[in-house]
Amino acid sequence: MLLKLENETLARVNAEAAQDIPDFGVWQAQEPRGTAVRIANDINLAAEEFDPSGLELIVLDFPKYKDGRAYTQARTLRECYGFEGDIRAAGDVLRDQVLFMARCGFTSFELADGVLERSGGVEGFEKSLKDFDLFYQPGVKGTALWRLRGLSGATEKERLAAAGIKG
Amino acid sequence: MYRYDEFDAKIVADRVAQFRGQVARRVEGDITEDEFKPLRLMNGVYLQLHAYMLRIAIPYGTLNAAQLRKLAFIARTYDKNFGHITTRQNIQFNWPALTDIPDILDHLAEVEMHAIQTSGNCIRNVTSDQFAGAGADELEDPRPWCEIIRQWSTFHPEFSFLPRKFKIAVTAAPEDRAAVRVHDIGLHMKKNEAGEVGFEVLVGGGLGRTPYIGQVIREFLPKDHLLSYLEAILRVYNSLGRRDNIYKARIKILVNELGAEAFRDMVEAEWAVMDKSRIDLPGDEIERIHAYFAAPDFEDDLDTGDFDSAQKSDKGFARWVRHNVRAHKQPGYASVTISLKPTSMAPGDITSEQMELIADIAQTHCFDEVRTTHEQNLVLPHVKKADLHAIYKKLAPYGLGSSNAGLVSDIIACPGLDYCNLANTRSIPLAQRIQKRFEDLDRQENIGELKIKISGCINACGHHHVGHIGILGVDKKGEEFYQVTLGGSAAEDASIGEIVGRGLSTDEVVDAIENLISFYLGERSDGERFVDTYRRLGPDPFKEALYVA
Repeated sequence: MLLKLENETLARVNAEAAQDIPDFGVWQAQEPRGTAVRIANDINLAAEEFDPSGLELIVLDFPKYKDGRAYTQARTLRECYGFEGDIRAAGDVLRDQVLFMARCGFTSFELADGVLERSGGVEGFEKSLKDFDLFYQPGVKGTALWRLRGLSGATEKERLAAAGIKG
Repeated sequence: MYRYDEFDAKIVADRVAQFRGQVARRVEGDITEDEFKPLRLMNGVYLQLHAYMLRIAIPYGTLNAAQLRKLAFIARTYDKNFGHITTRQNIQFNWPALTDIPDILDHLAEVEMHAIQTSGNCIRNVTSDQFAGAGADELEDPRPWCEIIRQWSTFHPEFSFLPRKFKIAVTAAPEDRAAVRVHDIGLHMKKNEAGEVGFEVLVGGGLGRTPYIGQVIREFLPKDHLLSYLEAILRVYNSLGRRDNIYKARIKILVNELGAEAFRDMVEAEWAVMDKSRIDLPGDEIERIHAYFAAPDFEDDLDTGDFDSAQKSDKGFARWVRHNVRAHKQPGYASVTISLKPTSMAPGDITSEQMELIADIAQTHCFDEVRTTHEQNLVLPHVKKADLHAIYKKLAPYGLGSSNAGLVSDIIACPGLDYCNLANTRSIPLAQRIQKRFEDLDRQENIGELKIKISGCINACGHHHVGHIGILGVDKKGEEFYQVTLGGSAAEDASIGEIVGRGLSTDEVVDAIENLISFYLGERSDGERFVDTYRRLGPDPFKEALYVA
């Protein structure tokens, strides 16, 4: 069960499951290298010789939703490697973490069996994705509040509008 | 103090709405308890021994009268008419119903308060010096930087599922009243050789099962780069901090396993490649936040009124002035510590009526400001000396006139087995028995500064490792025992106390504390505090004294 985030909306899509995508070691040994890789969350990208050019999909893992290492991996991929392809969250992916994931650069979410049904469906996930529309800090998605505050001379309505909020 | 703009208000309102939905889904059974737990924890909701507990954030311990009155209302309406000040300068309520909590959060939002990140494996409430903005010894008010950290750390998308909880403290005075050396990150504002003010950055301090004093990883960090540097530290910790063992998951373990130098190198490498301009605040935003913390309109050339004469006629007042009143940077003003450690109450407990009284006093006499302290007391930071006697006379009938700040009865204690489901032993009754033993005020005054800290289990919420006398409760075959440590300190001379001797039974422990104090009184040189005499003589003679019949 895969949800893809595009233009602020989530859509169900069909794609290869994370478990069928080569892991980091297998992918590194491929000749030529494939366009998709699954990276375990104990691989420290900051310490690896890693070249994501040619990749279209990187799958990052949440063995438990409480294990937050993949948030740093996703941000590192977006901000340090400039990776622009799809970053998929796989494993223990739940509706209450999906906004954090999106803000760190995840663009698709592979859900375990039964999760969507007890989460209010796609709509439930979309609702959680919109729990907040203002953010104190910059993320891959979402402007830092201080940039909005810095719009000198703007009215409250204009500043909210700049944040994408209808006043 | 900081006031919300429309953005801050919307974020808090959105959080309440989100949590209301999460509670409803939990009640419906759509979220398992295991999945709900971190969601409620990140909103300060614990499941304790008898009930849910709600911990409300008091960012860096600063409150106004309206907020204190709202807390009084919540205590009266949803709890048993009291709240409890914690060692992170927060307040917690021990008896709310889970289904009432979203409503309580709505009430809090009306006065710009919340329970965000008061628990969970995220960045917790940032703490500071309770005399910030008032102390004559500080370089500058550290609270604008605390507010900057509060905003940056709130719902940080990358750092909300860290290996373990994460605590940051900031101070700007040479005398460290914020215990920055026993925090995951301690920020001590200092001047460099060029005379600029920046941060000395300490990492890896902490208490708990394995206490460590923090290590300096950067002598001087320019102020403008605070957030990017914090982000670099957190990123290294989130990637490499241990997740295989909850007791080894704090940053202190990582720093000590890698070595402080190797850890620093990783942070500096991360920081070097980071686009700092995306993360660090621009100057106008830093200024905007600083403006909220401008000094109040102090009056010049104040008359001190009956301040001197009242000390001659009212001995109780004179004693209170000696222990609970502190010099202020502005002539004619003083800072007051309101002790929440009278003999009859649990340390840090405060009733609704007491909160309302203090709110009135703050509004009339203290520029609408109150502080909470990590030692579980309250502070009126800026009062006129001429008003002190009147304030004392208002406080005393409400049980708030105890003249024991910093003395033997000013004990830090965790909630212990009376509330907590982790505790091995009770802490509050032991604190009360020690207070009772040393009830005589002349005797307390003669003993002088003595910090007793009690934890009911190895998790060390009562900071026993850094007590001049620390007491740790342990369970031995179903019986309560207490292990004594000596020589700890959470101040600028931070040290971890040493264990002396075997565990003491409930019947023995108060006598043993008295033996230690009697020995100190016999041995001390002029001006020596208990901890100074201990450091001079070492543990052996104190160990012997512990068991004197």
